[in-house]
Amino acid sequence: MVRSKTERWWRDSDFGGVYRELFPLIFRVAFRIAGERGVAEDLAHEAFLRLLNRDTPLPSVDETKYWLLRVVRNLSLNYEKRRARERRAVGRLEQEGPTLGLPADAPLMAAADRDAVQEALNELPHNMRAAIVLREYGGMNYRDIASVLGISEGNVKVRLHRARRHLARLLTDGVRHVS
Amino acid sequence: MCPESTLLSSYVDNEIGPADARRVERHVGECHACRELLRAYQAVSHTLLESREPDVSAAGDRIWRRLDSVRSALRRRASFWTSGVRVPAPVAVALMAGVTLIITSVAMWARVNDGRPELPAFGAAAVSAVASGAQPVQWLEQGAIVIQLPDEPQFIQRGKPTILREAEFSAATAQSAVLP
Repeated sequence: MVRSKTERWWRDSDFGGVYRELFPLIFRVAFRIAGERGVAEDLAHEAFLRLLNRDTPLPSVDETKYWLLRVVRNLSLNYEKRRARERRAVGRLEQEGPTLGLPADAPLMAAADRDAVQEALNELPHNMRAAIVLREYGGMNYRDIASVLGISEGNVKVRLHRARRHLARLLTDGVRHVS
Repeated sequence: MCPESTLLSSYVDNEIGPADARRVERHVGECHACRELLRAYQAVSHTLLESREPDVSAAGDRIWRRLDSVRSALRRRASFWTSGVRVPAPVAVALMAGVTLIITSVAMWARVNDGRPELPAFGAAAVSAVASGAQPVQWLEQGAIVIQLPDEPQFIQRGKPTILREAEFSAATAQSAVLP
């Protein structure tokens, strides 16, 4: 019975149209939150795959967008926690004995994927980064950000302000460092 | 007095009311520190939006190919159960007639063989012999059949047999040997 609902959902709806409309936004947000192109592709793919496997369709494109953003945000948070555990594990291995010659913080991403802005964003705690990315790259208002992140609008306001303060300092320092 | 710095951030996002917006604008016109802070916040937004981005369309094509293979698999699985079959009308009529014939035949066969042994054909004499009860009485007399009754009969009368008349029923219950 559940399967038949799923089949009806993806057969009757224009999944391709939804994908074309929402993918740029979802991918941009995933990239800015995750900080790496390859990871962002995996996050966006997983989010749309979950949309495809939903039992029931979402009532509107906007609802679909918020649902996808919530999935991306949760997936990116899980990814970040896993990466932090891996870094700690690598750190312990380095302390315990000789390594393969790869430093713990060796850049595993392609240089082309990184830039000063992304590095500054990566410096932010995840909750601030998600808020500023949804605001600046998602073009969302406070109410929608609060809905996606599951926090109050007041909390969104505070996180955005702190994120901007951090970024202003980080980007200014970066510019001075480069010059 | 300077407004809360969160108000400057909300002003950048256009998320404050017109009265607060006018208050911020009036204040930054007079306060150098707040003006610099507001400019810094606006510069952050501008820098974020101007920063280089990966190729969205290439990533979109790659991911769409992966998703499309999943959709195709789902569609194949669904089409097996939901797709229709086109059959010419004469073939459909013939099939329906055949199915009806098979069902009728099976029903008739089941009715004839409904668990009872097939009765042989017998004549009027055999019918009268069985009906008169002559054969069982004869077997009883010859000792071929022995009816063993329990030592302490516990027959429970379940009700008045409807096939007997009232007088016969009363007479039967008055006797000591009552058949169950």
